Amino acid sequence: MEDSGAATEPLLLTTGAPGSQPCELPTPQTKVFRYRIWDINQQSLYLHNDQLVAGYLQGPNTALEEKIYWVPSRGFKQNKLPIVLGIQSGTRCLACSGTTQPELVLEDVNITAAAAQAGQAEPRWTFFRSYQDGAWRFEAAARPGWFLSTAAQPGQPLALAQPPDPARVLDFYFQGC
Amino acid sequence: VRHLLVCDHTVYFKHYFVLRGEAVILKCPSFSHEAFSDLSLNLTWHKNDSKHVISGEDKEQRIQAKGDTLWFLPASLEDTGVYICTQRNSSYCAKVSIRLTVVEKTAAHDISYMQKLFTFTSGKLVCPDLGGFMDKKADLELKWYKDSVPLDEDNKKYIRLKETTSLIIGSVLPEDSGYYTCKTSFTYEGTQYPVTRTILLQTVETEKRNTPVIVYPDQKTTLAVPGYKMIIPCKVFIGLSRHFYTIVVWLANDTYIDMMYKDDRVTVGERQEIVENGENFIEVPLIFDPVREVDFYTDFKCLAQNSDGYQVLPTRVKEEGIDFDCT
Repeated sequence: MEDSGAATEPLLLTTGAPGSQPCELPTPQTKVFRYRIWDINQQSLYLHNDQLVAGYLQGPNTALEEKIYWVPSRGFKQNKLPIVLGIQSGTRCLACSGTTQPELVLEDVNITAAAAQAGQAEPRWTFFRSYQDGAWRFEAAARPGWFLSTAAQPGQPLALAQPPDPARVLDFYFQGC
Repeated sequence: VRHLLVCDHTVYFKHYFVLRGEAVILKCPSFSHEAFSDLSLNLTWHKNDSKHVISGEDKEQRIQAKGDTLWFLPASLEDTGVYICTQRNSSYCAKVSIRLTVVEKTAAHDISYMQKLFTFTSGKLVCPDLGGFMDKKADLELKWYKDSVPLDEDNKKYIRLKETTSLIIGSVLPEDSGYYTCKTSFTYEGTQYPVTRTILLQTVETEKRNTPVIVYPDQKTTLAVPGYKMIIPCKVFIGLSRHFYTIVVWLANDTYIDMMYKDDRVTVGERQEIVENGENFIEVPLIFDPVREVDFYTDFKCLAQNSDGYQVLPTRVKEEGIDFDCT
């Protein structure tokens, strides 16, 4: 344990509370959270044909699971818990595109850059997350009423769906890892 | 004479792991929607160490091709290997290699599916990848076992819904973690073959969450002298919530600090994640280098939020020695 926190920051008004540990990441506003996501039917996400697909991973296949990276989305009212979701260390982000039918796509955009640009004028990367009975939902800011969802059958792409839709699963477990 | 096309060859990213003696169905993945819907495509299967095309004619044969699926009734250890499905017509050809590994029953844990549930909530285990069997009207009577012990139908801890592949646990406890087995059987031409899936259930402690409470700054104003460096820490009490569930940010006139101060005169310092007496705090400093007079007319806010709630604490910077409140 090193107490470099107080030593290198002598100007800090509080003198490093006991047990304080420096965070590895430079500033809170660029902190990228790394989470595991799986739906309430135990399907996890993996990449296939450059799409995020939900399904069951067995034995050594478990290593194929894509971890989700997220940051708060900055141009929206924070009480709706707006976030930007990405994969591959935040180098690719989930985006809501499409004109008539909303479409979920992966875009090669840095997650912190997307979070800084996000706002009413650029809602494509933002999802409002909400928590109920142990599970999370993710509503597309660009398409109110449309949520991230998986198919009840495995091997199908992650997509957007409008409840009620018995063929789609909208509830996810979301856990830091 | 038909000229031979060079086939596009891909390797299927998921490997199949199955138990010896069980019914197994491999499925040829479709490459594209066009290919999938093109009925003129001729699909064949062969093992990569053999030129021999696996036929679907002989119902006595242990391994049979049926359209885009390859059936093993049942699988044996020597079936381990790579199977190639080839889709072709006069203008198109694509091959996919699929790796199959057949293991002994004693290795069932090595090929298990990981599933996770949160403690003290209800949740379900799902017997995975039975698709091919269900399509063919398999006997969907699933039997569930925990660590090889059958879970009786009258066990009140579990709920089984008919015609589903789920096992619902009413309230998950830490001791529910472990290996679960779901078993069904598949009947073909009068012979029954077992189908077994092994699940490793991990229980995850349900996060204890607290609404964040900003404990500092505790005054509505902070005294400052123009031209000097100053730091205002925002210290947030989050109780038993995990640090990473709570976001703490500083805003100036409702704008993020780095967007407001492109010259970095005012910046946000490093986030400190603190544990004091078993309770969690987050501290994020707002750094003025230096303080300018304009800061006395700016609304600064510390905002803390997690899934349980959020709190905003406005603060003002006031010039030291001047009492705005005198009447």
